[in-house]
Amino acid sequence: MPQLRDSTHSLEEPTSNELVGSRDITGINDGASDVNASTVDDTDSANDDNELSNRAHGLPFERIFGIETEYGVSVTGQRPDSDMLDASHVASVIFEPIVSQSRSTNTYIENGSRLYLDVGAHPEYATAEARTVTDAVRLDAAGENLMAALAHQAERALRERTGNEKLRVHMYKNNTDSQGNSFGCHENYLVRRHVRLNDLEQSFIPFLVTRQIFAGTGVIRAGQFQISQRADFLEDTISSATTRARPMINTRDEPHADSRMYRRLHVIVGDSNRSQKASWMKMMCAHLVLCMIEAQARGEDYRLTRFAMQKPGECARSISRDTSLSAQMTLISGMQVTAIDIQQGYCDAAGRFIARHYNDLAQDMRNDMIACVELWHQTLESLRQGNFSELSSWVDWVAKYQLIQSIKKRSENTQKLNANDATQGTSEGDGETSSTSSANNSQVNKSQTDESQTIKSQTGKSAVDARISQIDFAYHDIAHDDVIGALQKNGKITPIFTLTEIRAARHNPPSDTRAWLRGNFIQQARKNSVQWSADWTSITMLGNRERQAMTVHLIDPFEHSPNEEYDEFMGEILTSRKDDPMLPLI
Amino acid sequence: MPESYQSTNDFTHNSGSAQSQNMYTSHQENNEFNMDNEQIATQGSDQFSEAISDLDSVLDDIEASLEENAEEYVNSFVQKGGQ
Repeated sequence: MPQLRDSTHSLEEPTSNELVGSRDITGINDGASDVNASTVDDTDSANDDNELSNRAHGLPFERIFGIETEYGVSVTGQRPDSDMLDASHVASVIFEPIVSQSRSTNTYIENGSRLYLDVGAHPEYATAEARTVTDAVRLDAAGENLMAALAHQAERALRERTGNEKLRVHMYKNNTDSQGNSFGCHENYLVRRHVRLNDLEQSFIPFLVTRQIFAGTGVIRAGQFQISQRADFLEDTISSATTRARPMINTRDEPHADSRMYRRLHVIVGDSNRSQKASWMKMMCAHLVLCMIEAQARGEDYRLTRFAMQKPGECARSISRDTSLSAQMTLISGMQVTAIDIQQGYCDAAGRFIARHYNDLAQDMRNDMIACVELWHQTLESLRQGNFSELSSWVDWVAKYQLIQSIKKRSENTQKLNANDATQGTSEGDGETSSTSSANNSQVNKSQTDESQTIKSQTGKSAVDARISQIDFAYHDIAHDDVIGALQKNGKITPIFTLTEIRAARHNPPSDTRAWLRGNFIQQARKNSVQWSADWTSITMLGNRERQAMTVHLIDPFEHSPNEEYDEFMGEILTSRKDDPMLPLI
Repeated sequence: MPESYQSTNDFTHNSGSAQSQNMYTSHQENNEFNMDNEQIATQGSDQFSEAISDLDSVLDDIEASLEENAEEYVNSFVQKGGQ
């Protein structure tokens, strides 16, 4: 148990999968007091909640976003019976610089994000609070960059210690290992409290289930290409009391000056995108849908509940298995529709939402929403037409699918060439070839090509299949980023952010959320060699011989301005006696 | 569906394309799902042939740097599940 762990992690995965509707209004988020939704009276007077929600921060439809990513690790090039390294060992080497700095495998970094080692040896990065999807995606990219650096550092360390220069450490931003274990990319959205949980289930889940058609990252499973890595691991229901089920979404109270204002919606159904544009679209479209759900709860008519599905988990799986995107699903209403139909419905409604609230929206949010809906329309049209070359520049599953098809095609072409060369060779020598002998020759040739095609390893996989499987994972390998690197080098996939922007985002928190107060604190504490701890809702200067520990609570995720208490606290840091010297984090 | 969309790729700077309000008020209301059931192109190799030859240089680059032992690469990736 990390020494400095605090129980009030408001932006991380809850420890229980229960749906929460706690009426705790003290503002302290205590996991133990979470209550199952069914026992909560969810009928606060709609008017009161509307009032509060409307007054929240003055700007309608503002939201806090966060992305949490669990990474996978592996090591290759081990000497058999000699280097005995597994994921856990590698993960702990990866975290050595962090532990030496913060004495814990659970810490926050200068941009306000959280970095920790999860159970099952998953390095995890949870972005600082962001007020825009662009900021969230940039912070996520910064996390990728940091993780890659940590993996490289671990590789150097392990090579040195073992004397084995062939060792390679791999870090995967994906959702499955080679044994079928699943791990996640989780999204966090603050949602206004007046939205009924039932409405969320009916109106939001169909969007999440069908979103994979542009947000999926693709995977080969049981010899079949599937669109989404996560679809197979999800249950049908929104809430579950058992710890084994994985509800697609769950909610937690967000501590707030007035905790009747927001809930934190935690979404576990998404794939870990390599494409920054896909991450952006994934969350921006979700944001629009949540805006409509919030507006719907105030009486606006988007009729999103008409998309409600009987068995969303089953729908997710059937969509995932159909790259033609023509699979039909039956809704609760009885209507039969495809995933594209459903997404089109949400997209059209989003256009109406923007029109209706055009003057309410802050300009940059409005511009983002407009850009999103435009691309959404184009994308659905491209999907309908099967125009995959258009989509391959940013839709992960399409890019991966095309790579795989290319490899297969290349392999077929090579075999055809070999077959042709062989038959050409035999007929050259003879002026006339008797039909029998040429038939014999082509028989021989055919069996030769069969052989090369079916050269199987001990496990029975053909060379081509093994390569394809390798690329399926290598697409996500941020430490040895050969696949995405090649795609980018050849202009096939374009990132949104430059390396300069990403590196800057590793060290600079967003200036417009509470992340700034945390990030600034961490920077100053480090600079002044003061020992510290933090969690999402508080920052602490640890006590020493000269003073007690001091804590400042940061309850409001939207609040970024220092108050008097914070200024005094920061003043203390500057005048504080230096603690142990700290090594710079990587 | 509105007649024209301008694609906007520059998300970083939030420029978007400043479409007027009219575009959004006048576009066709889709009260029911699009039931045209347009036939989605199936996964024949023809559809990909252009895109595939396009990827030759990508595949060359990948082949040059990817680890030789594909099976070892895949099989060494084993984790327990996350939370």
